Order: sequence, then structure tokens, then C-alpha cells
Amino acid sequence: MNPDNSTLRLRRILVPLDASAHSRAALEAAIQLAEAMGAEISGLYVEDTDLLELCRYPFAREIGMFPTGCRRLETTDLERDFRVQAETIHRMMAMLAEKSAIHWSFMVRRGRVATEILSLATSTDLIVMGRMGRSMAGAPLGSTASRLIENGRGMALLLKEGLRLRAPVLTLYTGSALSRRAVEMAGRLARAAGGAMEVLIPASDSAQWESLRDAVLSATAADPDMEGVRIVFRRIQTNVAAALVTILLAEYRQPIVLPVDAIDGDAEAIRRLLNRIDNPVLLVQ
Amino acid sequence: MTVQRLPATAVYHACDIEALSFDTTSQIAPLESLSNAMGQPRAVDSLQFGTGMRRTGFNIFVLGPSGTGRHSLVRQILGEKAKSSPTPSDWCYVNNFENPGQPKALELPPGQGKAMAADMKKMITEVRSTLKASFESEAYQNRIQSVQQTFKEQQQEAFKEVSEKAKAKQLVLIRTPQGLALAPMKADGEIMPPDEFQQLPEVQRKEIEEKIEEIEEESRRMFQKIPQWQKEIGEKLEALNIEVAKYAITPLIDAMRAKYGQTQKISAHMDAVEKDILANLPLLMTSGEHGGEPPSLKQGVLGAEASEMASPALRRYRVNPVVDHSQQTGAPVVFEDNPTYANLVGKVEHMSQMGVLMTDFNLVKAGALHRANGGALVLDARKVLTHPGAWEGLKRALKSEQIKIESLAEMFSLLSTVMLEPEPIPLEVKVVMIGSAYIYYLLQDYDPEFEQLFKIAADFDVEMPRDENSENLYARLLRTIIERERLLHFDRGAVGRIIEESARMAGDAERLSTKIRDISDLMVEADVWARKDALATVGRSHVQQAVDARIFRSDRVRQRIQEEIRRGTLLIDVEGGMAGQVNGLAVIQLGRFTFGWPHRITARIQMGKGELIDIERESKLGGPLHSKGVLILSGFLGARYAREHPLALKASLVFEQSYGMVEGDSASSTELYALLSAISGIPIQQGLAVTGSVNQFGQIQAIGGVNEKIEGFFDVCRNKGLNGRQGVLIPAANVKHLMLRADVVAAIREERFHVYPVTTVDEGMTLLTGMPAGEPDEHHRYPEDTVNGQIQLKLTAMAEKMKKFSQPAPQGGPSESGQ
Repeated sequence: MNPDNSTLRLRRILVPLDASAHSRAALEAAIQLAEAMGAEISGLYVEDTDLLELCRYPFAREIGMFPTGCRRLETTDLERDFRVQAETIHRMMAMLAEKSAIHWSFMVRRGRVATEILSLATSTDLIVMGRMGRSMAGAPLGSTASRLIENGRGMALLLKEGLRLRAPVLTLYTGSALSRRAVEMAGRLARAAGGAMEVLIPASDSAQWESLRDAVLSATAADPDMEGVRIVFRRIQTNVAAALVTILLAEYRQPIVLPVDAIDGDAEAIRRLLNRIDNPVLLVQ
Repeated sequence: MTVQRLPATAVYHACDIEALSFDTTSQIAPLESLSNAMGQPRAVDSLQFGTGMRRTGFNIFVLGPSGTGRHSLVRQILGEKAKSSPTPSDWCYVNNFENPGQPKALELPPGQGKAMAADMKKMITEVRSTLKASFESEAYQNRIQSVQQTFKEQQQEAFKEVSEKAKAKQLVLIRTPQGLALAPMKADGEIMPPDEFQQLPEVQRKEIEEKIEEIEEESRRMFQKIPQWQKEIGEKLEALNIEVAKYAITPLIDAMRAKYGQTQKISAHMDAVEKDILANLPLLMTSGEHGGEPPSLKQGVLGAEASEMASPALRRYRVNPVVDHSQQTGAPVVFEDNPTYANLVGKVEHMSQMGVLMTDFNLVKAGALHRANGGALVLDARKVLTHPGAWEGLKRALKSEQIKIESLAEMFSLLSTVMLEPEPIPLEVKVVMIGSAYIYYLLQDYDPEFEQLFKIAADFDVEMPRDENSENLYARLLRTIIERERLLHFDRGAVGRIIEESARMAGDAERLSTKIRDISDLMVEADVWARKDALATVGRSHVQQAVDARIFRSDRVRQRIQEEIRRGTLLIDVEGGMAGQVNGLAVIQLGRFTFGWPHRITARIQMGKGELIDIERESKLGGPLHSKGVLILSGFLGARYAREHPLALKASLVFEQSYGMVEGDSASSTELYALLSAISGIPIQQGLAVTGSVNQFGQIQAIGGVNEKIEGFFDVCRNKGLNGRQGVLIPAANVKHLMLRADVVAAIREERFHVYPVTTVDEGMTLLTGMPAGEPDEHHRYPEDTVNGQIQLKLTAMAEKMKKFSQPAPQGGPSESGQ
């Protein structure tokens, strides 16, 4: 993906899927986007080799949820479970995708989940996935999502179960190249959701605020894909992370397009931020 | 002791039109009520007493023949009573939420039932929209979210705890497709590959395995808690829903309570409605206008009502106003024309849903008893008795003083589908059954409950006394009918003629018929004739025309009989004399038309042992009354003529050319005359016909149908030619019944035809034979030149002969032995 490319186009959206409710939310959002932007969707199911590896332990056992109890973890059982899950997901995708006239495909790969997703990330414009997969880390942010942030490449939309893409779409403009991209992306999302875009501008004084705002206005005016999108500006304090937490906790359903460079610090800082909010987040990095 | 022929004035009691106080009926006032003049003081009194009596069992049975104005009178008296009575309550059926099979009945002040039903319908619509608004509100959504969030956090917390514990023990918790698994962790946090694990020393491996077991146990315990949490969360959500819903609907239900909750029962029902709405929120919110069915099916002929059938959630709160008195002032008077069981006690209808018959309290339909409750119900007794179950159902309701809707089909196990048992409604009604006397006495004899339930009998008479006063009153009755039927006015002569015809209908010159319907029909017909003549008033001739036309329409059979007598097919002599043969008179009724039919009655005798053979009886064509009449004859005969010796004859009696049943004793005097003539050999004048029954002392007794009988013989004589000597002998007791046809009266006036009132057999024999009957001396002997003397001689001679026959033959008689 080339951040300098002046017009932003989404051609391929990757949706890594497992059987969780979060990933279904991700798929629905991806379809919504693909429809609005004419993109193609690739569904991906990864047969986790870590799990297969586990079977080789002499004590490998699975603690079942329904019904509660332990059973011996066997490679053959696990492989069958994978097939069943892949089949279920394929069906779900077919059902959802065929309601709209988009191009879609579904693939099954074997490997480590994060590795497989990252390897495909290079050939996609956007990754849409559930924030929390089936990971048991206990954290609001799933392990694969964390790896994506750490990896720091490509755009990724992270969604939580039950929250759909809806307007207004929030974004952040600092004047950086990434944040310009974020504005473009937010505009498209807002259009897809059929509503307004709200641009948050961290500024220490009015001069900075005005210049940044004018920059957004002139950039959007020149962009044909943003026609008809209403723009609202809001000035926020320069400590972006803290400001975002305050705003987003209040407006927990609003999706936000977040240029990573707006957050000071490393991947860990972004993860901390994401752990505190529930909103769908589109990371621009 | 000669019998005088009756003068023309005695055979037709004409109405004295000079005594009528008007020229045409327009000058008199109609009766303010039909009751006064209809000659039914007894019935009026009973009805008034019965309607005023507010106690169980004082229901009324109106008995009398149809056409006597029973319905009009009942309608009038009940109507008067109802006007001054209070309007009874409305009744509604509502759902019984605890037991939907037994709908509850609610009593409301008159006129409020329908209003409550409409308000309830509106309220449910409002409840739905209010609920929808509440549950879609942001505030509610946020609360739901927060409750659900708690659950998720609880879960996450638990996972986190286990996960951390695992981490502390150098283990990784991994999600598998069906649950969790544990693996040892390397120093960098990654899963230790199994190969690496195998290379660990035995002790360490054992340690790791123990740790894993520990954590597994922990995880299992955690999983076991999840269902409990889910249950708790469900309860919390439900409590929240109820709280929100209650807040939304309570004001609406309170408004209904304030408007209708006068009685404890209604407010209890409103409580139940509130409780049920709260318990069935999802049902109420999801059902409704956008049901699965296509609109065309729902909005057919039944319209909006039918569309609601599709949503049981809405139907369950509705109010079904079965008894509505919103248009009523005073108490109701209900005439049920079709008193089937279901029409009386009400019914529960069914509707087909997906091929299954379903029902609920909305399909409870009121019966006549419901509608008449608090007032009066008028029924036709015969119809009630002929509809299956109707009489029993009516009695049960009256006895228990409540209306309980049960289905007949259910009673007989003919239908097996969902049935309802609606709560019984208390009943206070005056039932008036109208029927014939026959039905009344049948019920009284065979139904022990009848007497308890119908304590008042209103007995209608078919006739009323005729005098100057009543004739004037009758004229006012005619005026009332004129108003009712919108007829032309009748002049004095026409009124007189109707009064005369009414007496003829009553079959009695001293009585008037109270069969209002017949009189009214006659007047309508007379009106038609007057209008044909383009006259403004109906005259006597029009009434006569109507009477004649009526007879003409129905006298085909009579005409035919007369014709056959004239042609000699049916043998009747009207001239000359003949022994043992007398003209008798029978009466035939065809529908409403009655006419006389002369019959030849003959007697033949031979020697015998005092037997009297009634051929009709032997051939099983004689009824018991007829046989009784004949048996009386032998009593008379023996007592009068055979005191000293046995009756040594055998006689046979017959109605000649009679091919059907002969019943009644009105020909017994005729038969006696034939018999006496046969014994004595004295011919009977065939120009005379006879009617009257006779007793064992030879007295002639009254009979029925005297007018028709005389007219029947008159027609025969006229057809064959009147000779001035022909006539009819009638019992003297029947003279007061004479209301003969105008042409007969004219012939009598001109002495071309005669009617003789006879009191004894001797009078009759004298007239028939032209010979004195004769009086007995102290030895019971009659002079020889009298009828009785001749009879006595003949009978004595027969007895003597009989005696000779019964004596043994003389010794060594001149028969065979001499040769």
C-alpha cells in the first residue's frame, strides 16, 4: 500500500475468520465497506498449527465448555474440528455475502494464525477482523490483533461483537501523511455508513487549529469520493491518547479511523488505548 | 204435542244495526288496547299478574288457539311493563388469564360494555406503541448493554484469572475449537514445542504435568459457573424489562381502572391484564399488524375484525360485549322466533386456524336469554319443544337462575375440539311461552318441572258473549284492525255482517269469535272487494262477497258431493216415504272449511235374541262415540217396548255409502228413527233429515255443526227441487246456535224449507211419520193406531214367535214318522 498515492482505493479486503461472534461482526462490516467501495472480500480461515503441535504432548487434553469435562486432544479429532469450523464459516460467509452483489472468496490455510494473516497482509488493502478472537488472554484485544499492531503495517479495521459501522465516523488529523490518509479513509467510511465525519484536531493554539482545519477542508474538497459527506470539526488537547479515551468512552459506538502516528509512543501505547475503548477502530499505519 | 217449525228469525240471529252507535267505523274510537275487547278478561288478568310477579317460577304459559291475538296481547302487556322497568346491566366476557378455558363474565352499567370493549382495544394499541417506544429508547438500550457487559466482564475476569494462574505456573492457556487446552511455556512466552518438552528431565516433566492438572481443574470449575451467570443475567434482564414495561403501561391501565373499575371484579381483571402483559412482553411486541399472513387473506369479507384473529396476543386482552343495552331504554322484551338450544342459551363459536378449530372468549355469542335478562322473553312453545335440547336448556337456566353456555354437540360428544366453559351469568327473566292448550296440558301431565317453572297460565278463549254492549265493543275492535291493516272504513251494515259472521264462526248465535286473525282476514278481503268497486267505505255486500268467495275457494269437495247426490250416484231421497230409512247428516272438515254431508242411514230387522248390530263398528269403521250411541239405543228400546217379554229381534244399522270412519253420536237419534220405522214398518218421510243424539230415556240432545248440517241437506233439496215439505229435525237445544246461510233463511221465511226443534224421540217420530207417537196407559200399553203401539205389537208378535221356536217339538209329530 502506498501512502503517497493521492486517491485512496480499496481493492481487496482480507477478513480472517474464526467462529466467534466478533468475527461475524467483522465480516458484516467488511461486506458493508466492500459494497460501498467496490472492493473484493477474501475470507481466511487458519488451521492453527500451534494446536496441532499441542496434540503431541503426552498430557494433551481439551477442557470442554459444553459439557464441562476433559478429553484427550487427538490430532485426528482436532483436524476434524477444523474442517467443521471452516465449513461453518464458509457457509456463513456465503450467506452474508450473497445478499449483496460483491465478489468474494474463501480460503483455508494451515499455519500459525498471526503469521498467516500477516503474510497475506501485503497483498491486501485492508484487514477487517474481530478485536477479540478466540484467544483466552483475557484482554479485550486479541492476540492476532495485537500482532497486527506490533507489525505496524497496513490498514486494519478492528471490530467488536454487536457494534456495526455507523455514522458519524471519527478521525484524527495532525497534518501527518498518515493522518491525511486517515481523513480520506474516514470520509469513505462515513459515506458507506451514510452520514457525517467528525475530525478531531489536536491543537495547542487557535492558529494551529485553524490551519489544520483548513488543510482538511481543502483536501476533502478536492476528493471526488468524499462528495456529500458532512464534516464536523472538534478541537482536542494535544495529549491525544488521553483525549481520545475521554471522547470515545462517551461515544462508544462511533467508529474511529486512527492514524497510528497520532499516538505518541510505540505499539504498546496503541494497545493500551484500544484496551480501554470498545469502538470499532481502523488503524492507519 | 206437535212441534212447531222455527220462524226465520230464530234461525238467524241478525245483528241489530240500529243499535250500533255509528254510521261508519270512522266515527268510533279504536280500542286503546286490544286486550279489553277481545273477550279475554281471564288471560289479561293472568298476564298482568304474572308480569308483575318478580319471583322464581312465576313464568307464564299463554294457552289458546292461534289467531286469538295471543302475541299482540303479550307484546302489549309486556311492553307496558318493560317501559317502567329499569334497564338491566351489560355483560361482557373477558379472558381468564389463569384458566383461558373458563372466560370470566363482567357486569357493567347499561351501555358501558361496548364502550369498555372499545377503550380496551384502544388501550392495547397504546400499550404496544408505548412499549415499543420504551424498549427502543436509547436509555433502555444502554441499560441492557450495561447488564450484558457485566456478564462479559465477569466471564473475562474469570478467564483472566485462570490465564494468569497458568502464566504464573509457566503454562499457556490456548483456545481450541471446543474448549481450552494447556501447554508449557518457554521463557519467551511462546509455547514449548513437544520435542523440547521431551528433552526435559523426568522430574521437571512430572512437575509440569501436575501443574497442568491443577489448572485444568481450575478451568473446569470456572466453566461450571458460566450457566449460573447466564441465568443470573437472564433474571436481571427480565427484571429490567418488567420495570421498564410497568413504568410504560401503568398509567394506561390506571386510566381504565378509574373509568370502569367500579366493581371489585373489574378492577381485579385489570390487575390480571397488567400482570399478563408484563409476563408476555415479547408476545405482545412481536405480534400484530405485520404477521406472516398476506393481507388479502386477512382483510376479506370479515374486514378488520378478521385481521385481529391472526394475533392471539391482542385478542387475549379484548372485551367481548355479549349483552349490550346502549340503545335500550327500560327492560328488554325479546321475541325469539327460532328458539334453538344455541339461540336460547348462547354458544361458543369456533374458527379454523391452520385446519384446526380454535376458540376463545371472543367467540362467545349471547343467546336470547342473555338479551332478555332483566326483562321478558317470549317463545313459541311448540318450537321450543321441537328443537333438540331447547326445552331442557331453558328449564335448566330458569331453575338454576343462571345462564351457562354449554354446547349441545359437546353434550352428545359429537365434537371433540377445544371447548370453553364461560362463567355463568345470573338470570332474572320472565319467560312467556305461547302455545296451544294441548301442549300446556301435555307438559303439565308429563313434565314435573313444568308446573314449578310456569306457575301462571293465561288461558285464551275462542269466543265471547254476544250482546248489544259487546257488539259495540266489537265494532271498536274492528276499527282497531282497520287502523292496523290500513283498510277502508266499514259502514254499519258491513260491521253488522261481520258480527254475524263472527257468531257463525263461533258456531253460536249468542257468542262472537275471538279469533282475531280470521276476522282480520275477512276484513282484508272485504276491503279488496270495496276497492274494486271504487268505494270509500266497505259495505255489507262486500263482506258477503268476501264470505262467499272464501267458501267458493274451498268448497270443491262439497260441490262434488252435492253433484253426485243430484246425479243419483250417492243415494239420497228427498221425497216420498220409506220404512227403515232416514236421512242422517254428517259434518266434514277440510282445512278451515266445514260442511254438511247428508247420508242415508238404514235399519233392517229379523228375528233374533235382542242383538243390535252396528255394521260400522263390526267393520271397524265406527269410532267409540258412535258405538256408544248405538248401544244406548238398545237400552232405550228394551226399556220402552220389551218390559214384559224379551226383545226377540236382531237389527242391523248402517251408514250407506260411507267409506271412511264414522265418529260421533250425533246420528244416534237418526239411527233410532230408522230402527223404529223398520220394526213398525211405518214409512219415514224422506223429505226430512235428522240430527241429534239420544239418551236412554229417548230425549234428544245437542250436537255440533248444526248450521253446516242444515245447509248440507238444504243444498241437496234445492238441487233436487224444493217442494215445501222438506226440512231438518234438530235438537231443540241447538236452536241458539243457528246462524244459517242467507239463502236457507230466505227459504225458511218463504216456508219452502223447515227447521224443527225436537226434544224427544216421540216428537221426532210424529214428524217423520205423520202419525202420532202415542202415550202408554197404566199397563204400559200404547194405542194401536200410534207409532209406539205398532212397534209394541210387532215386538210382542216376534217374542211370541220366538217362544214357539224355542219350545220342544210336539210328541209324534206328523213329520217323517207318519210315513
